[in-house]
Amino acid sequence: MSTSSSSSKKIVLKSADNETFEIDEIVALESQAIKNMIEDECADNVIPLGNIDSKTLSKIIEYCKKHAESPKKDDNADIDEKAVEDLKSFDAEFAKVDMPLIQDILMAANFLNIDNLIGLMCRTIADRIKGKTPEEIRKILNINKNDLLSPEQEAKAREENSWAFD
Amino acid sequence: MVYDFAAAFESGKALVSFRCRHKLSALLTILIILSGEMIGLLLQPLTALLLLIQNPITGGSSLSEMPMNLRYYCKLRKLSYSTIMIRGHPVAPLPGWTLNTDVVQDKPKKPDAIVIGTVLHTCSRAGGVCPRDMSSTGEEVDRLPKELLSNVLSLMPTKFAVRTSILSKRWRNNWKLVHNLDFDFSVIHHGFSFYYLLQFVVRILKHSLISHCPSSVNLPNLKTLDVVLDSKTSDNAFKFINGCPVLEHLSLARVSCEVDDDHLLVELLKGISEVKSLSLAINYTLNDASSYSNCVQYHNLLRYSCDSPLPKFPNLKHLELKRVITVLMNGS
Repeated sequence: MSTSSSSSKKIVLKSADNETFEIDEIVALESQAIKNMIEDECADNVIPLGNIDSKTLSKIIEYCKKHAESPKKDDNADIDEKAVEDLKSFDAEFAKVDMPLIQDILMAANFLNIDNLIGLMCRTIADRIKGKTPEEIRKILNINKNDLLSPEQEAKAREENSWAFD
Repeated sequence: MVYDFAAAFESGKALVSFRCRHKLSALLTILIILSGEMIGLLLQPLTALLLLIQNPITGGSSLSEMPMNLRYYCKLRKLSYSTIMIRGHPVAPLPGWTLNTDVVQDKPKKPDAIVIGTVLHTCSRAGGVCPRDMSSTGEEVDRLPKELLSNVLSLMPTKFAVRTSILSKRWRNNWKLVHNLDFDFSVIHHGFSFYYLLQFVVRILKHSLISHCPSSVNLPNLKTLDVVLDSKTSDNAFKFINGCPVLEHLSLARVSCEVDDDHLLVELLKGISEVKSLSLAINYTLNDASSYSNCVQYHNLLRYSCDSPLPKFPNLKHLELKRVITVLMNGS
């Protein structure tokens, strides 16, 4: 259904560890930040992304490719429901990575201004910690053991909002 | 019967005759009139409209013939669905809406979760914040800028966000970054009352969100509110909601109404005419199926005698209405 993009304009991204990624412009446009650069005509050469490593960047490109080739919801109300489902299951699979990588992706998506991806990563973190015990959350988030509250401080915190802990 | 809403909405006249011919309850009628007005007068702002009626009275097999699928596409750019989770089973969205017959029972069970929309974009993005220094280690989520942490914590019921206050010293006050409040009254047990909720909310506001708090309003700064109500709390909740002068997004689920309580809803709607998105799920509880027709008759009377007109909603862009009628079955 989608038209061939083999002849379209290419954008080259360079990760912090000096790996280059050549992608179609349409894929790069998923990033509002890069879109702005293209519109301002500052994207003719390689775009250096000095704070995104190649592992993170390749995940982000994977996401942008998939979303760029899916029909946009805004285009019409009768969008193919299968395409929506397909994108949903892609997102679900995409988010099945460990917490450090999720966070790297989130930070990078925030930097590149990719709204959908920011949302997906935030939801993923929220889903993983909500309803869990404090001990489980500390493990999931790798919270520093030296920073724990004293028993008195914890009791006070619980008492302040006892309704949330029943 | 499948009602041709598109045709009905094309002309206000058709809408009137539609209302008279099919005896829908006053509430629904009011809301249809409301939507009709919005479509007629405020066409540009309205981009999404969803009307759902779930009516278990007729039983499962004939449901497809009931006026439960009220979809109106005309001039709307987008139709949005919500998925209502009842005890873990997602109710199918329109079309092909299927009835969850478990709703019809002596006492409705509490839903495990009610998910209506998302509120992610009410928080501004953390512009220009760079990803972490690649050599850094340590706590994972503490590396996130506050704006992102705020998003994460706002994507769960406020109760769970508050619980993060005991994770560590750094997390002690992170939960106050939430930009929405999401309470589920159906899972709050004894020992908690609306009064404590208000106390809690006032404390949040004093601590983190605003610098001054006029005493006449409860939540001067609140923009997003997602409330699941217990039947006993409706009155208080309506007062509470009317104390939020800048509310932009309201989702109100499981409002239990006595059949003569519609005026409360009218009052509620008057108080929040500035909202941008509104989602209402209203429960009616009837003692037996035969009283349904009486109730409908009554509502028609009510409608004609109603002399307090509804406000216009100049900012409304998203409207979602769901009415659930629960009939209590006793024996046969």
